Amino acid sequence: MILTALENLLTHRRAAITRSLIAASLCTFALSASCAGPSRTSTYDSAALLSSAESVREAFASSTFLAGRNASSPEIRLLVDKMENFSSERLTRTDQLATVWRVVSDDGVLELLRQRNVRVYFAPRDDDAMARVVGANYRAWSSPDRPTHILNARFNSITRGQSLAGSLTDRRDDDFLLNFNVIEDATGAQLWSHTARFSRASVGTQVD
Amino acid sequence: MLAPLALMLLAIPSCGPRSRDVQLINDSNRAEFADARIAASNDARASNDRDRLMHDMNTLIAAMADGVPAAGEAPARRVYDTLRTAGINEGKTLEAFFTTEDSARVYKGEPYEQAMSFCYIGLFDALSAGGTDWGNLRAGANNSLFTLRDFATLDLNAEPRQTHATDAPNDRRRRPRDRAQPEPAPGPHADNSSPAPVDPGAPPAPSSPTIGAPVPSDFALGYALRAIAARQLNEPDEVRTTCAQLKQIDPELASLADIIQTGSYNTVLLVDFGIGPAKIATGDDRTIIRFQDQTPSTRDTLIVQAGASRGEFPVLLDLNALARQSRWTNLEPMRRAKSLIGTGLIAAGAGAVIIGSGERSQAAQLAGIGAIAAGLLLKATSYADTRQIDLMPQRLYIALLELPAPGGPVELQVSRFPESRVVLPFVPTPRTDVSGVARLHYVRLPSAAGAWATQPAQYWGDGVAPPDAPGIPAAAINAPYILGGRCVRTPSDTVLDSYHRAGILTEIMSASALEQLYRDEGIKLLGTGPRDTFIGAHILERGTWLFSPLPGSTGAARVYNQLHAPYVPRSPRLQQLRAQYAPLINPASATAKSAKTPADRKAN
Repeated sequence: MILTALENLLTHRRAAITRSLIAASLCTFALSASCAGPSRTSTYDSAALLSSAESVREAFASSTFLAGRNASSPEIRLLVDKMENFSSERLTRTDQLATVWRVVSDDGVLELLRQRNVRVYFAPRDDDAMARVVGANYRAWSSPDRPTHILNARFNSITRGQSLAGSLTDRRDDDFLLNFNVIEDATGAQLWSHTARFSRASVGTQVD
Repeated sequence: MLAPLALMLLAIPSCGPRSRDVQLINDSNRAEFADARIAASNDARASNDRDRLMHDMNTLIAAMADGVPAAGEAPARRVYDTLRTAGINEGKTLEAFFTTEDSARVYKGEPYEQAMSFCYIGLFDALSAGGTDWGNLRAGANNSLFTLRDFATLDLNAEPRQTHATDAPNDRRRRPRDRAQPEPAPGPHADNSSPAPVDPGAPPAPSSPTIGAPVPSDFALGYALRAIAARQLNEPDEVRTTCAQLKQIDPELASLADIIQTGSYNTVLLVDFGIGPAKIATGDDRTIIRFQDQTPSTRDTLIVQAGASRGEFPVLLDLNALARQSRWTNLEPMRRAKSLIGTGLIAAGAGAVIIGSGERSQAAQLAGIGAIAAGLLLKATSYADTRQIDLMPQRLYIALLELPAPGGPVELQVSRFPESRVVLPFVPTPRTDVSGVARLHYVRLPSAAGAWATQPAQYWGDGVAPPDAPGIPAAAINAPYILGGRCVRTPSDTVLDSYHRAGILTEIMSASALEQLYRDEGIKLLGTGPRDTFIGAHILERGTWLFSPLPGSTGAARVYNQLHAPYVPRSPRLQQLRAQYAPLINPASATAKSAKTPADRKAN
């Protein structure tokens, strides 16, 4: 039977089988190209992080923490601390710093802070992250002064994973939360807080 | 028929399972991590996308062992992106069937290699921040604790069951010496959760020979690092839960878990030793993967001596044992099927040739020959994928120490392996005296290091105390190596001040002018060039780079603990400065050069 099949393959059905194979291959390629499919990674991207930071900036600019102050109000020395990573995602030092920098570096926000006698600065660092994020004049933004208030940032995530029925394929959902708050240094009292969120999902075998 | 045959024929020139990089492994055994990371980095740059993770991980491990994490920054980024890409090899089964696995599939690592890689990336982030980036260390540990699929304990006659995470620990038969599965943390966490817990709302996934039963991870290193990081991040609930999971996995780690919870340490040493198991392709057509021990598994403790204090720490993780568990390695059903199909084609083809010869049918004979050729090709290309991360260690230890500030020398040895003994010249403590704050260091112990491993420091780098070994001229300590001294600290105002106080280089007025002196010699300074620059060897080891390996690394010990050849100046300015300061820096040698011989005196 195998012999007959092989003979047929060579002598009578070669052309038909060849056409079938070509058609099948073309269909496969067409399907692969046309199906965008779900995302393969649920990591955050810098654009989403910075977009979230902008929403935090808007909330900060209109916060009760700054309301009622003017240029004659007692000086607030606001230390912008690092962003702590409490998520399941690797967050580079540059992204950490870039996110907090995005909140305070806007010209409109800086002018607003100046009008309310709020001086923003960063603690001195021994790495080059400030130079990368802020640029050549990064030293102007660093100071060892004791702050009156501290701007904290925290990056959290909620991760859910599941195995899809009957296969090795997994789904992973990551919900990212970006929280900023202002703490009075002397008392530890929280004077302002805001949280921004975004989500990512991926489908596919995680451990391939 | 001819097209697939042609595809397989094209694969023949590259046939054959990959062999381990023996040179890389030997360099690592001798703690020549600079050679290892440079070679691995070159391999990564020359590599295709499918193999790059393998070389990038070798580069990353060697860079951390060498105390030069900057050399691992780009590899860490690429490896993380690959590991976090799901389904990276989906749709490649057909290609792998008609060619070979290692030419079709992107190598992501065996599951145990992926878990280790996540932890190493977290470790890299922590080391890059002076051993204090606990958030990223925790993220790496969390990612390493992914859900596994357990095939070894399948009951093939059982009914399919739901895969809620709470079911798993009670359902399995335990083989002898199995580690217990940890109880998963209850519910998803608002601040973090590992990807491991199965969503109770998901439809039940049946267990089968090809899918296996999802089980929580028993990766002790991941749990230990998560607990340590959570302790530093002041997350007591997570510390408590994770330490409980660690004790459940291995009761012998109970004392380690207890110390983690108390936080009564200021120094964390993650110590690697040995070379992990080799992947060997065996069996018919080499379709079966077997792991062969390179460094034998033993229960020898890690002995740590710091001043008058001495401690012993048990083996945290044995990769020989991990690699032998089915839940920690990949499947191979396709390779076996391909080999069997090849065998079938050969048999059928042989029959066709015989029958065709008897009946004088050329078509049948040709068909038979074609089938035999196809069968041979299938069998020749069904060998197992033996790609692996060559520098994976055989075992890991975690040592938790309370060192007196600002730090000091620390001696380490795996108890019955005297060739592993290393004296780290200076392990610094955290830059704060706040109780409970710790600093992380990574040490890769050699198995064939030179005499330097147990010698005191001869040179002065950043972040370490000045050397005080006998025989070092006092004036040489505060003079740069390029001038004939023993200082290899990177240029800064503080360093320049110390030179000036010793009367050295008083004509150099700024740190940037000092940097220029190095640049005029063709010496590159870490942190002053573009990112992702290839970082070569240190000037002490005849390289063209000046950097300070992380204190507390084996790389620092190798660079600082042995006498190196004197530096030969290239620029006329440095030659002039060297001659000018020689009497001050090395008065003995200057006197010898100026002393006249009896023959000279007679001539004059």
